[in-house]
Amino acid sequence: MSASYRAIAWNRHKRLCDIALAGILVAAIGAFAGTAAATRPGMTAETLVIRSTAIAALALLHVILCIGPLCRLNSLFLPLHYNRRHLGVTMFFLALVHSAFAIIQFQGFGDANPIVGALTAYARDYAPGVGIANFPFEIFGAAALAILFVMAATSHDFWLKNLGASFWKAMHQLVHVAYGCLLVHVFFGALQSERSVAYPLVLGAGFAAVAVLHVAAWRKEKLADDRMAPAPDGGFVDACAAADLRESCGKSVWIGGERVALFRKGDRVFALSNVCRHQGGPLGEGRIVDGCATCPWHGWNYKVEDGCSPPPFKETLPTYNVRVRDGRVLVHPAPNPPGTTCAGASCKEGAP
Amino acid sequence: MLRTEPLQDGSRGNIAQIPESPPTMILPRFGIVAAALFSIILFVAAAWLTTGLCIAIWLHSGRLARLDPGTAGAGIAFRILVTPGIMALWPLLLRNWRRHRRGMVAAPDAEDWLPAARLRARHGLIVRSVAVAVPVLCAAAIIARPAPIANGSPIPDALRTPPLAAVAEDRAPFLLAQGVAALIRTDERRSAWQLELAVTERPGIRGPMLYWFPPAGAGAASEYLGPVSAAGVHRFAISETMVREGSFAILSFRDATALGPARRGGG
Repeated sequence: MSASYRAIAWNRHKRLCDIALAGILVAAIGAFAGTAAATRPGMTAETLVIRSTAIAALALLHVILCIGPLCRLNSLFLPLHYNRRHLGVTMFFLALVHSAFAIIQFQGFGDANPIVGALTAYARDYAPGVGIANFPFEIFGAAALAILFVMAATSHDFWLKNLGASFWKAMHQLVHVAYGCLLVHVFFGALQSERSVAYPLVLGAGFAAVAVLHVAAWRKEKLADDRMAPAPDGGFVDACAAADLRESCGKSVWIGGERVALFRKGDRVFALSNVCRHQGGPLGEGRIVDGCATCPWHGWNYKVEDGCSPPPFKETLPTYNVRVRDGRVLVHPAPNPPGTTCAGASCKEGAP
Repeated sequence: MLRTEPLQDGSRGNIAQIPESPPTMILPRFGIVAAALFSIILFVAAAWLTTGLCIAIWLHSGRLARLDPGTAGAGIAFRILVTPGIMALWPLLLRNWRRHRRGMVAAPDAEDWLPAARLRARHGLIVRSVAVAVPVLCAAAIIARPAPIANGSPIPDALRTPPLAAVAEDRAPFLLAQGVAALIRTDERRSAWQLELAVTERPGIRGPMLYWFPPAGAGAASEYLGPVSAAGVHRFAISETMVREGSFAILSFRDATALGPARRGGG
């Protein structure tokens, strides 16, 4: 937000998560090293580093990709979402170590630029004829690394503010493209010589898990939106029953092709854009804390009366005009400009 | 047996015979073009990041706080953290700076809110594209991968492979090329064979690789044994067939050449 930035906004929860992440990675890499030492004693330290960091990075990426849809399906996973940024940056550094060691191991100490050598290795005829063995899998790895670098480098609220939320979000949605590139990199690279069926099966299961979770989350949201298809009434759209709104709790409704967050504060109802200014979190699934609608993802606040963040913060959200008639909450689909004060509507019959 | 002949000067060693004409290989013309292209891309990327670093230093000297008041008073750790991003995305920050100088109050808050429908549509497009393309490509990779080399030995990590535990027969070393001495090892049962290369001079060709070629007219295919790109000792698992017949050579496909003819030398 707009207060003075810190490098990393650690708090107790984040510290615990980061310590747990570090512990898990050390244990996993240690277990891999032990297993490799026992089963393949000829494996060098460089090869060990290349393989262990690759496996760790890819496993972490699968976890990261699953967090989003898991949170849509069950709010119990929200603490993971809160720390997803740290997972992503850690994953990038693992990928960077893997790339550096791979380039040095396979392309270093020659008289050609090692990075150019890595990107043109496919042109070397190391298998008779031109075939799958010459597929430029290194290029896909490089493309994925470039995407992950940009994402890691912009994983800070400073970039959200200065790039704009829309552009920033579009850039970070490239994580799916990076994921695809990495799978191609592995299947056309390491799996050309690793003949065990375990590797493609495990990777296939990971891909399936990510895909199934995404489909399940999409389906849940779509069903919820279809249920909310209301009939227009004098420009205002029937959103829900006033009794459905609990005190200080939010509720998401589908109005005019957009999600709107309804909040009940006392006996008045207010409507804001459902999309948090920070990272697009579902504001309507949050609560009112200290008089402000609070996003469940990272705790950003907005006053329900005008959609403005409390001082010194300056983020704003569009508000919506709202009425209550015959116990039903009606919302006008046209949003007001962000920061527009809206009086809301009283839930009491006959009151303005 | 390996096609060798004793050195005429009486010293120990043999000369390895390199075939007069290496097997036909696909000359990597597209590889030359690709190398040039990627060299240019790498140069542009380096120039881009260097420019970004200069702009980052320029911004950090007080201008960043004018651009974004939230950076005022931010510590050195924050500045180090955002510098890689500035190096990558400096044109966008320069645009913001230009707007700031012209007095255009950047109003991302007012104009840049996120309609959920547009977000989800874009997200869905990317996810669907990846979900379709990736399984097709990966399945093709598994289905179409080449079969393992018949009767071949796995190529060990050349730099650190230990020599065979019991060397029953240690052939006199021979020079494969200038600065490359070769030695054949086997164990007591003659069940495993190993070719050991001692590379004392940096190879003068790009991407040197060790190959074994069958005798002319034998009908068998040549076999790739491993890279020989660094000085030091390299060990390659070979078969007894390779010891008994054929010859070894070091080739470069990038340079479309062999590493010169074998020379006489001491063992």
